[in-house]
Amino acid sequence: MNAVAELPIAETGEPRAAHAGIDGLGRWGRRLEAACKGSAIAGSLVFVALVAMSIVSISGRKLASTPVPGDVEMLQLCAAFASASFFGWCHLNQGDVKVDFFTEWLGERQVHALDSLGSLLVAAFGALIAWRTAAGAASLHAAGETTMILGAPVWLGQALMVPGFALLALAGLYRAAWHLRHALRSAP
Amino acid sequence: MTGIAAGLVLFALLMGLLVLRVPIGIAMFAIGAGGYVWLTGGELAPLLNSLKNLAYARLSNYDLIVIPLFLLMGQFATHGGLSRALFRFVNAFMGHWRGGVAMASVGACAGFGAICGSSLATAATMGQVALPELKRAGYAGSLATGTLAAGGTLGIMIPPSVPLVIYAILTQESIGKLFMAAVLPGVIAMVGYMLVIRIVVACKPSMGPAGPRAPWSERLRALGAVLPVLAVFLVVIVGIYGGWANPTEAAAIGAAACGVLAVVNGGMRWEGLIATALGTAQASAMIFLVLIGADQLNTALAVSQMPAELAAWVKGSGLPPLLVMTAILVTYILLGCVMDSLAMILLTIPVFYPVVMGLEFWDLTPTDKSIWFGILALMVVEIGLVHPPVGMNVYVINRLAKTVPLVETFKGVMPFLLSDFVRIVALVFFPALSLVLVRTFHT
Repeated sequence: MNAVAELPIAETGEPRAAHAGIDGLGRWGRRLEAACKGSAIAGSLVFVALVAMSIVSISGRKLASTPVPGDVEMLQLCAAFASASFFGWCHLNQGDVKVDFFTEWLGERQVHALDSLGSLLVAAFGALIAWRTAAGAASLHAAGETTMILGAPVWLGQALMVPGFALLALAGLYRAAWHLRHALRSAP
Repeated sequence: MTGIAAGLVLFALLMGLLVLRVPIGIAMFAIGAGGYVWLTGGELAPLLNSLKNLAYARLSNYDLIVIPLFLLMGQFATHGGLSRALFRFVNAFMGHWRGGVAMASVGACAGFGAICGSSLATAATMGQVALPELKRAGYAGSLATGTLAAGGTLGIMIPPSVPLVIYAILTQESIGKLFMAAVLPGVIAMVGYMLVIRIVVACKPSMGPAGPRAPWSERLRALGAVLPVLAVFLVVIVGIYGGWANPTEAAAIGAAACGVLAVVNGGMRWEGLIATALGTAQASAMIFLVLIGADQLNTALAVSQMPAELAAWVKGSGLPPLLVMTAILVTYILLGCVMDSLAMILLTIPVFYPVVMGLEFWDLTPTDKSIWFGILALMVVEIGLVHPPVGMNVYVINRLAKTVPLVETFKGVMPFLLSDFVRIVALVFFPALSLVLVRTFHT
């Protein structure tokens, strides 16, 4: 028998329990996690829906020369807020890209202290962008700008991004406190 | 203060924040925003005004939407068991050679790279499938882990490739041409890795014993299982390049096809779908955060005029172009010691690209030069994934292998790194390696 024919399921990259959650979160952390996860999954589903719309539009255009009207605008409008909905989950799940080469020799305590500072900056960034994006949406609303083909209000697309960045700000605050607590608890 | 000096100050401050473990995107944003205020005369109002539209402009960019779509496609492929079918297929043909199971792993990595644009995902997914097989076939630990860490880099070298999409957006180059240009160097990389395995087992046959020969009936069955993967790759690449679909549409088709394959062939269920959704979210957010930060940083750099001044200075200095190119490539290798490949591309291309475009290389036209440099940059940033001290792929594979010490894995990677260097030098001297397919299939 060929060795490849039989692969033990446990070792073949089956997805690990996706609902398992992040370790070491408190009560508020769990609630925030649920919100971030829900937001991220909803965002991914928006992308799946956009994929379906694109397929319909492409086949419509190639086969019957009738694409979905305004498909490009729709894609841009929805992709923007769907992408924004991903940020909170990524930071809460500690998925940021950072350089850890220079701090490898530091103790756990110092690393937690630095990460607390980093998360605080993430929170500031999330809050700033949420505020400015909301202000941008408000001025677009006042100007009454709409998309070319569908006439969809542009401000709505921008306003829908605000919750995503607000979640990023909350995730940043939570992680800043979390790292600070770990910095104080761990041995110097 | 000259633009170059201002730019250097910004870079130095950025490095300071990075050393302090600030997430790369946030650090770039902070320096970019601060630098913008500093260089525009200390007023906050212009910055606050420009931020109103920053996030929406970035995230609604039509070309950029291919990134989450390619990531979704790769996640479906990862969680849908396509990796197993690929490995079985290549192994049915090569497994009976000496070192054949390791070569099959490389081949399967290349196949997976054709539907996945990320190296870490390729290394992790193929590692989970191939490491147990390599162990069972009696392969040396260092050869097994080295093969997969290096093979994982085929994930970004063979299109679709997320770093190439970013390069295309930064330089306003055609995604289709860059993907086409990456195909041949990607195949050369695969063959190079297979040759390395051949040489290693020729020197030490006990490291990679030959396995049993698979009968043709099994080979054909294995082929049937990978045909859909091949079809997806062809639709995406030919679709984009032939102008039949734009990259965003092609990525949507690829994601849909991989999704259907994952559910129908791979038996993906609810749990796999959630994992796919969260994986896509995490990987996209990771990239987009760095993109938004880089956007702000590049705005500040543009205000400082540093890229233009530097390009003019290098051009006027009379330095030999090849020396400049060597310096750029060495910079990438050094940066690769501490930084991730996407961040490197985003950070350096706005500065290096004008420099390269201002110099003469082998009488290339500007378009050819920009495509060639894109592939070259991709190749050098990719080796940062396997060389010490960061070598993310090495860590991922090492965690999966459990019984192989990290030092062994780094030792195992060395011969593959050598083949990387040979390929990069070859590409510097023979730009045609990347350009020949673009020219042949010119539409």
